[in-house]
Amino acid sequence: MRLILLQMLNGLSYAAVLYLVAVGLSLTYGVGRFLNLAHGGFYLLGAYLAITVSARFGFWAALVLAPVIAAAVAAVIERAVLRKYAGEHRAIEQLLLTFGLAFILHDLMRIIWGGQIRSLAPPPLLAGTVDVGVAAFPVYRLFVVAVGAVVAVALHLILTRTRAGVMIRAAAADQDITASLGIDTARVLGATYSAGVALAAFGGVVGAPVLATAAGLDFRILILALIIIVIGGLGNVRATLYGAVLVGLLETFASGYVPRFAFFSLYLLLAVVLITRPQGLFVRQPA
Amino acid sequence: MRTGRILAALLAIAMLVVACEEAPVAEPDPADDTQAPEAEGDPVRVGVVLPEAGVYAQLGPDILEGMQLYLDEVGNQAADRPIELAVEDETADANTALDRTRRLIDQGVDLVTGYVSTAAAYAARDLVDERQVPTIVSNAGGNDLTRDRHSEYVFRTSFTSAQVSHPLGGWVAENIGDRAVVLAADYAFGQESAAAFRESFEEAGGTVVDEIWTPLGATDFSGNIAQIANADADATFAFLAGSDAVIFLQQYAQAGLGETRPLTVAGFVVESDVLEAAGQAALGAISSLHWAPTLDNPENEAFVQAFEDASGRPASVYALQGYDTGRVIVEALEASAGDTDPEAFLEAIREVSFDSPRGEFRFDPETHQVIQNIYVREVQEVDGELTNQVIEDLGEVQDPPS
Repeated sequence: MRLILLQMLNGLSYAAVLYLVAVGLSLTYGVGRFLNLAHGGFYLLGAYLAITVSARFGFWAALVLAPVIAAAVAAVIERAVLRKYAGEHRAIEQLLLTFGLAFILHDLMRIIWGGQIRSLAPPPLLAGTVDVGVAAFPVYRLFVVAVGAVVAVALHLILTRTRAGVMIRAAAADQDITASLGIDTARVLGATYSAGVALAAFGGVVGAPVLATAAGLDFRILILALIIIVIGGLGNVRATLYGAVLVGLLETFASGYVPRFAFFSLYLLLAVVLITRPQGLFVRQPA
Repeated sequence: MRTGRILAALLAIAMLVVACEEAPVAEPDPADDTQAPEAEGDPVRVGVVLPEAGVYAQLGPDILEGMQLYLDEVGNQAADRPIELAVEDETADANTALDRTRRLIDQGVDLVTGYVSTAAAYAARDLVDERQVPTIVSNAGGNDLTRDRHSEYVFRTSFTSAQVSHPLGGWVAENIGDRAVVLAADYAFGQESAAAFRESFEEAGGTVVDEIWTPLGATDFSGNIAQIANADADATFAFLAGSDAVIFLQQYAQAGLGETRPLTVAGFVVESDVLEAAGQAALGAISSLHWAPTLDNPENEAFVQAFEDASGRPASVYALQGYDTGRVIVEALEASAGDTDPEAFLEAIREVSFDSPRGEFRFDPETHQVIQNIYVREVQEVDGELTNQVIEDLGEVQDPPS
């Protein structure tokens, strides 16, 4: 029992990091039907920036600066290239484009930060362990769970209660009608893209003290994020939350009890979902 | 569900990309790093097969620069013959490594050296055996290369997985406790290392209470670590490589396990590349290896300093293996008076022995595996920097160890 609770906490903190990345991907896809394959690259960019910025200004500054820098980079890319390829009928071009972008990011980061593995210690305030009743648990991992929960609630509120949220949802529902109401949908899409990237980079900062930072992690994270949004339900922010929790818990419990099959269990789940419920587990109607 | 199908296809592509992540990108550089020779005779051509980039990014350059360092020290010559290196990229693909070895042999090199990956070494083994080219493996540690698949033409200056991890098992049973959890990456080197540790640990009266196999490239070990914490054990033995090792060390330390359950690992898990990344998280980790930067002997002191001066990086066990490989080549050439005819040359290599920075160096004449001392080391902070301090010399170890 004690162990199960501990594994739940581990699974939730892993899920929180995955959620931060996947929800950005889901948001961009939900609004513009635009799948950003460079998303994992922005996670890694966030993690590298976290290491560089916190060496100078500390972890908390990195938590703010890294997403801002990443979003600025994304805004430039969106304006210069991606905007020309908006629209659902250009899906293949978008995929090829962002896939190429993923490689460019990958190589640029290798040039800037080198091939060696990096890591970041948790900030002093969050170092060490705390007794959670059943066992000692890393404080930083609790912080990660809290961050994930706060972001989930905040996103929900923004999407349902604010004007920006209404515009985003309107653009997601029907771009032509939204545009006819005098809303600049291209701008909404661009802003959502940057916001999605900022979330990925934010996930990179939060994840850096838990995971190692190294070339290759960008594609590993991208795959996990893709699995999550497919399992949860494409383009649905709430479904992404459930998907992330499911994937985080599944991989943690599998690695605890059947470690050899930890990855396999994820792909098995993915295959079963695609065969039996291709619209995703947590959405009501087929998309 | 058109998008669903596209996504599924994409996932497949993305997985492929990850699988190919480490695949070769750079074309080999066929140029040889010839230094202006002062020696008069016919040059000795040494074919070198080492990776230039990829997972083993640091290993290839460390080995090559270590070897170059020794050759420079002796003026790039032996027995009045200049030594020329022809370097090829090993890549992460054994078949490519094999092709490049073949190319070097076709170009008429006198001997071949290198191989970071065991798969590449196994692939090259049959070729060099058939073509009768003396070969000195300077890293790949698969046990069988100097056991069942041993060749008259193949020597190894580095280690075997058993040679490094076997001695640690007995030491842990005697010095830490007789109940251990073993965690290892699920691939050949991880399996051999874990098996070797287990064998000597059990011989010394220990019990392995749990054995955990993790897939290569895992992103989160917290599930495994909770399992380790829950097991009734005195020690943990782990074998992981690269970023997996960094993530594991970090999470093990964050879980606060290091204080109650000493972490023992194969030395590679805390070599300089990983140590630098893991930082304080690695503090206190105990490991076994055939070298340590802090080994107290004049050869090592000189080597560590010279390598740092030459490369700007801290010396590593890989640099040492390259350095000693260079020395083996030079000493064998001197002993055979420059004769690279296989018969005389192989005999000369078999006889090579010297005081290496790692201690006494000599080959097992039967297996062609180096016989060397294995050291127990602990990650300590010295003058604000993390390093591996030797805490015990376990003496000379042969392979298979007994």
